Parts: sequence; structure tokens; C-alpha cells
Amino acid sequence: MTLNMILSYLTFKLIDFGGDLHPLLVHFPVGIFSLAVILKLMWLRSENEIYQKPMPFILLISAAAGLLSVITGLIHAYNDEFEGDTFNQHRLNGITFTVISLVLYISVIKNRKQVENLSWILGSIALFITGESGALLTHGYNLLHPKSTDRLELNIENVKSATAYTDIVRPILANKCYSCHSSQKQKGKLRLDTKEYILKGGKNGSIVSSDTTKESELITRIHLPMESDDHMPPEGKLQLTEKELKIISWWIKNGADFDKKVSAIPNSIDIISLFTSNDNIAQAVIPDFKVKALNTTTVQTLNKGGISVTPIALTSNLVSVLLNQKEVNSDLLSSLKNVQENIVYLNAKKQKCSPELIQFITQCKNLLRLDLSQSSIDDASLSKLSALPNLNNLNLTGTQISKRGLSALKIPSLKFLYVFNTRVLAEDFEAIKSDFPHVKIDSGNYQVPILRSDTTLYTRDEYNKENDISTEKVKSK
Amino acid sequence: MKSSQLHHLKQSILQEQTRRHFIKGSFLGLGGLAMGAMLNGCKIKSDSGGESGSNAFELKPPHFNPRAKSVIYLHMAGAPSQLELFDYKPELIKMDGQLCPPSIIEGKKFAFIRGVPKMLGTTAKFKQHGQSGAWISNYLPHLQTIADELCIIKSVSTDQFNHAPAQLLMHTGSARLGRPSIGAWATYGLGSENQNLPGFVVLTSGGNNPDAGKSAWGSGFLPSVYQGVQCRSEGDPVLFLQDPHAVSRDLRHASIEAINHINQAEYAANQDPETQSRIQQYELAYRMQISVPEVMNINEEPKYIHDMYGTQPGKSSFANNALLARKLVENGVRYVQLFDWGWDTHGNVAEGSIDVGLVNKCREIDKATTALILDLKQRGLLEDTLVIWGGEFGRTPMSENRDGVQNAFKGRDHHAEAFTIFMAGGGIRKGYTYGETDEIGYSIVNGRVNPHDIQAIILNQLGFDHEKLTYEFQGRPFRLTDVEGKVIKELIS
Repeated sequence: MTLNMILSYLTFKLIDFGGDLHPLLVHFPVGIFSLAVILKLMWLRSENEIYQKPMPFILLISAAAGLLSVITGLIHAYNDEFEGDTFNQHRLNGITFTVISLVLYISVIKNRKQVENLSWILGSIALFITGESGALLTHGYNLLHPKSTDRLELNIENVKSATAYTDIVRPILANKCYSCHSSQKQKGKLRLDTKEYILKGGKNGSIVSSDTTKESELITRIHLPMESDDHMPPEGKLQLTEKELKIISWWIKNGADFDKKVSAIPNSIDIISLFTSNDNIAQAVIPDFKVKALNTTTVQTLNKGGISVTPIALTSNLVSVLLNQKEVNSDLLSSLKNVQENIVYLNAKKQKCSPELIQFITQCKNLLRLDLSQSSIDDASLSKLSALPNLNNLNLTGTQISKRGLSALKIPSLKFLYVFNTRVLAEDFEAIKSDFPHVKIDSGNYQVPILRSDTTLYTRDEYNKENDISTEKVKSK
Repeated sequence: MKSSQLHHLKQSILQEQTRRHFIKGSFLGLGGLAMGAMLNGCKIKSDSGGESGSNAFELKPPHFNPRAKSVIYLHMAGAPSQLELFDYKPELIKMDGQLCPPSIIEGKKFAFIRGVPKMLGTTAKFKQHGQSGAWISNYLPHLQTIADELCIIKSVSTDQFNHAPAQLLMHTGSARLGRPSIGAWATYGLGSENQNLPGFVVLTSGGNNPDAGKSAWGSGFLPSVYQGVQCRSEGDPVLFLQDPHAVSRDLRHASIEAINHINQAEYAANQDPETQSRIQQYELAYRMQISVPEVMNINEEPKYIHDMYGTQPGKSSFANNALLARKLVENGVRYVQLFDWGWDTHGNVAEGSIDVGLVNKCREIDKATTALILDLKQRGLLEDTLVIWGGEFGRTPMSENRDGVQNAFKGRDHHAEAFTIFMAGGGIRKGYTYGETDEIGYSIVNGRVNPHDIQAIILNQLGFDHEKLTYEFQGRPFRLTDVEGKVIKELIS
């Protein structure tokens, strides 16, 4: 009883194993038969005995290997449920080849020249077709027949208007799933190459379901851990990437629609954001200034002197300078000159603007942003800033500058200008705005009106009055 | 002969080994292993150099060019109702008073709702505002006027439905205690511009601290200099900061120097980084004696600023805190955290009703929030100050029936699945509404945003790749967003 069980188990295992051996064994008949063909061709050329002698033996092994391949192949097909035209072709030609190679062996021994010659030709053809269709079954159509047209490159701009299925989902399926689930192979009786087949599902029923409470079999399978036997794609095959997992899950969970554009499907924002260059960061553009590397001793001297010099980013040589409201003496200023071209941001808030400092600032040719708020800058020194070629953001809030100083300021690169709380009068703004046609000028003085409701307590009576609820109504409720 | 004697000797030695020897040996081994791990946990890795140098708040470069320098986080503790303020649901108003369809609440857990609650439509009046057409209700009449400055995110979702854990998740990335808060990470990563003020300041209003308490602005495993410094907005901003009577500033300075001297010796002997923290805190406190009372004094502000914010000097209020937040950021403080208590509108008491109590809470913050954004803007500060407004979760579309009995006033229960926050400034997209909820506002149908995503966005705006700002602790690198968080690029201008 127990022995029987063990035996049957072993047989079962052996059959299972035999099926797995097929892809390995098939290479024997191919190799050995090819050797026979080569020997035959050599013999035809020189008629040397040496080519003729091992022929019967080689052909016998070839036929035996062929037979073994057919047997394991049939087990393999039974185990993994192969179907379809390619498979039928492979099976038919495999059997034909084995039969022909047996016939060839016999004809060589019996010295039947006509049968032998015919068998050589037919055997070679059958072997070729078997090999070709076999490779197609194992490696898929795309490997043997690479497509000439490139897939559409999707990015955050065009992905919204792309069709979710055709442009995004199908290429993933074609790449990662078709080798086992399309016209060539239908493992688990599942095809994924057309709308009808996807909706039909496999032998375990449907794979996409409009019932959102039940998770789709496909989503479950692709998310199973690698160790699980049910994990798809199987171990050893090209796996789905994180992004592809997200896309497939999103598409199925949101109705598996075959025609809609990406933006028309719910939750598309999550998917659109996948189509960007870097998933982690969205950074401000740093202008591409070519400057020399920072001198660390200079930076240290300045930092010790109370002037903070900080690179704007870890790997950048461009710096942001904070003067810390301290008076900049001539020593510090000369140190600062060592990093002058590296400065892109300068914070001179509440600074006492000596002529030397202004002179220094006007020579910071890469300066993009200058904060002079609450500093002692006046109209005369302001006009000197016109020398700055790259400045795009200037903060003059809380300074003594007036319309006169601003009209003398000519910075073509300027984009933002803050003049709140200065001596610029309200009636001057229209004129100033026409002086700076491409600049966003913020003159501030925003008002937040005082409403009665700001300082009063809202009461239930007020609420009832507003909502037309009379006291009786409230009581009856 | 000799070999057999050797063998015999080995045998006898082995026989000497008793079970006790084995256990003793094992203890030493295991203890050693455990000790190694513990010591490793104590070791502070100073790759960013913050705590090893003399100054923890020295300015440090971020990973990439930042969009924001400072953050002002306005947290409405207790969780404001998104359905009264931003998330307009006409369908829910039609369903008002009907029993909640069982399909919605089946298998769901609520803090207080039991059995089948009734649907609750809002009585707030909604209108679209600005060129962006953002929906803002009449509860926030001032905010309506600056709709085009805001980026409203209607699809925030959390997984905590109790105040304290949800607040911790929002501010530390973990619902449990012990992680550093966003402000601690920000000051750890960037340092601070003003060495005379704390880099991370916390201000509270509404009469109570948030439920999560000081852990919401803690420094977790980061050196404790990075924890938020809570300033009081009434009386002395920081308690015990004034010199004792008859102690001059010079004497104070001398005594602090003496204390620091002893602490330095202590540090040299034991290498405990917390000693360094203590030295720096003494020094900071000394510098703060002058600068804090100065910056925390709103009396000097002109009248039109007081009118703008609706501030009343000397009173503890959200408006005062909002004005202080602007002053702090203006003076180079990195991270300002405001908590306003009293938004927990269950409907069990009159102040906690969505139709009356909530209106009053809105009146307390509406004008000041609007003024803060406009004031930052006119000073050129808004472009690199990220302002965030929100609660720790949302409120249910159903009326709360505590213990199965309809509450006395109109109120909503805690709702983790969908709520609204808004951001402004700091390189965030202006006049934009992101994400949507279903027709009754129960769950998100598009653009889910988690607390970790918000944290990833904050760090991104400050110039950090949230996956790379890490701190080695207990043998592994930790980060604010744990293993989650994504930067939603649609929200960034």
C-alpha cells in the first residue's frame, strides 16, 4: 500500500520531471542529426570511408534522442496545456522527424538508396520546422521577429492624451505576458492579446472584474511573492517593474476600459505622475553658470566673520550669501570677492549699504536674486544695480527708495520687483508699471477688510434667522 | 601512546565543562551581542556634521536648489470639516436626514458613530472663487478673496482616526511616538539663518495644546537641539528667559560660560552628544534673551498690520500667532508650527457643532490666515515660504450618533478617508485644486495624497530628496517618510 503510493508518487514526479526535461533534450536530436548531415555532405565530397563508417550508429542515437524528445514533449504539453497552431505544427513535425530518422537509419542499414536520399531531405526540413516552432513557443514571437517600429515614448506631457490600453497597457502585456498567453501559447487557457480574450479570462474564470470588491485574479497573481508557484510572470521570465505593476493594477481596478484616454479614467493623476524623469524630486532650475570651484578656506573665513556662504545645493559651486545684518568690513569684503562670481542669491536684509558694498554687489555678474529689504539703500545707489546682467528678483521692501530711483533702474532680466512699504507713492505705480512692462511688481498694501463677523460670536439665534428656522419649527423638530 | 594520552586529556577537559559553564558562556556572548547593538544605537553618525561642530544650526546646503526656505504649518487641531469649508457636495445636501446606505458603512470603523447614522448635508453656502474657480464656503469669507493664491488638495487621506496618532503621523511620519517632526528634520538638514532664534518655533492657540502634545514637534532620535521651541504668545514668550532680579547681563554671561566650561569637560570625558546639545541650548538661551522678546513683541507693528490680521496685542490668539509666524520667518526662522485647538466638531456640545461652533472657529482664523498669506506676499517672502493649512483628518458625511443616539447638535465624526488641506507659496502651484472625492465626500476617487506625500513635498520644496535625507539610528538609516511618500509634481509650479 505505502510502497504503491511511493511508487505512484515517484512515477508522477518522474513524469513531471520528464516534461521539464523536454526543452533540454530537444537539443540532442538537433545536434546529432546535424552531425549526420555534415558527415553525409563530407562523404558526398570525398567518399572517404571514415565518414561513412559511424553513420548507422549516429543515426540510431539521433532517432532514439528524437523519440525521447517526442515522449517528454508530449508530457510537457500535457502538463502545461499547450494549444494553438504553432504547437500543433511543432508536435506534428517533431513526430514526423522522429519517424523519418528511424526510416533513415533502417534505409542506411538495408542500403535502400532512394529511400535514404528522400529521408535526408524530409528529415532536415522537419527538423528545421520543429526547431523554429519550438523556439517560438519557448521564447515568444518578439525574440525571433523583432519589431521594426519603436514604441511610443510616453512622458508627462503626452501621457494624458494616450489611450490607456493601446498605448500603455498592451505594450506591457506584449512584452511581459504574450510569450505564454497569446496566439502561440495559452498557458492556463488564458490569452491576453485581444480585448475579447482578456475579458473571457482563463481556466479559473475571469481575470478582470468590474466588481471592485473582488480583486482581479491578474492583480493578485502579479503581486504574489516570487516564491509562490502562482506568481506571474513565472520565475526566470522577465518580471514586471514597479511602475508596470502600478499601471496594470490601476487600469484593471478602474474598469479595464479598452478605448478611454488615460485622463478619462479615474485616479489617472497617480499614473500620470509615473511618467516623469525622476520619481523623487521636482527641483527649481539652476542656471548653467560656469564658475570656478569654491575656495573652502575663503568660505570658512567668511562664515567665521558672520557672513554665511552656503552652496545652493550639495553638488553646486553656486552660493547663497547671507550678510546677517552685520556691517561688512573691507577684510570680509575682499574675501567675499573671491566667491563673487559664485553668488547667485544675496540676502542683504537690514544691511547698511556702504558705497563699497553697493560697488561689490554691482559686480556680482551671476546674481539672480537680491534681497535689500529694510536696508539703507537709496535712490542714488539703486540706479547702479542696472549693471547686473542676470538679476531677476529684487526685494526693496521697507527701504527709502522712491519713484525717482526706480525710473533710473534698468535691468532687462528683471522679473519680480517688490516695492511695498517704500517712498513710492500709490499714484506712481501706474507710471512705474509702464517703466517695467515685463516685470511683476508687487506694491503690497493689501487690505483684508474688517467684517462685522470677524469680531462677533455667531449664535444659534443668528443661525436660525439666517436659515429661516423659526423657534416653533425648532421645537417641533 | 602519546596520542592516546592527549586524547584522554581532551576528554577529561570536555567532561569538566558543565551545563553551568555553557550557560555562563552563552550569557556573556549574548550580552556582548546585545551590548554591541545598544552601543551602536547610541553612536551618533555625524555625516551631515550638524551636531559634531560647535553650531548645530549652521547653514547647510540641501540636495538640490530649493524652492522654499521656510515653512509655516498652520494645523487646525481637532480636524476641521472639509464638507463645510472646501469640499462642496450638493448630492449630500439632497440626502440630508436620510439613513446612511449600509454599503457605505459596512465593515468600517468610526471613532463614535455606532449603528446606522443619518446623512448630513451642509448648511454652508458654497461658491466658486477667483479665476481658478476654487470652491470655498461662506465660512471663510476672507480666504475666498485669495483663492487664486491657494493650492487646494481635496484628496488627502490618512490611516488614523484618533487625534493624537493622526497628528503624529502628519508631523512625524509615524502614528507612534519617537520619530522626529518635520521641523526637526528641516533644521537638521538645513540649519537656520538666524543664530539668535530657535530654528524651529511652535506656537499654540485655542486654549489647549494639540492632543499629540510635545511629541508633535519633538526631535525623536535626532539631537535634541532640533526639537521645536514652544513660545507662549501671552506674557513672556519663553518662560524663565529673563535674568533674575539684580543679575546683570554680564554676570549672566559669565555664569553661562562657567557652566559651559564644566559641560565641555563632561563632554571630553564621556562623549555624550546630549552634553553638546545642552551647551548649545545654554548659549542659544543667552542669545535669545535679547532677540526673542524683540521678535515676539507685536506691539511695535503698525496699526494697518494689526487691522489686517485682526490682532490684539497681549491676548493669546491665532491671529497673534499668525503675525508672529510672519515676523519669525522674516527673521530667518526655518520652520514655524502653529496649532489652533478646538476644531473637533462632533455636535455633542454647542461649540462643537458644524453649523454654529465651526463658524466661530473659522472667524478666529479666516482673517489672520488670509492676512498672513498676503503679508508674506507683499514682503516678497511668500515665494520662498511654504504655507500649509490643514487638520489631522476630515469629518464624516454622516451625522454623528454617539453610542447610537443622535447628537444634540449638528456634528460629524472623525473621518480618515478623505479631507482637504491647502498650501500656498514656496513654489507650490497657485490657483489649483487637486484631487476629488465621491459625490458624498466619503472616499477619494482621484489623486490620493497621504501624509507621507505631504512630507515628501515639503522636503522637496526645501531642496531635499525625501528618500535621501536620513539619519542613522539603531543600526539603520531612518527617514521622515519611512518607506513611503511621493512628490506630486502637479502640485509644484
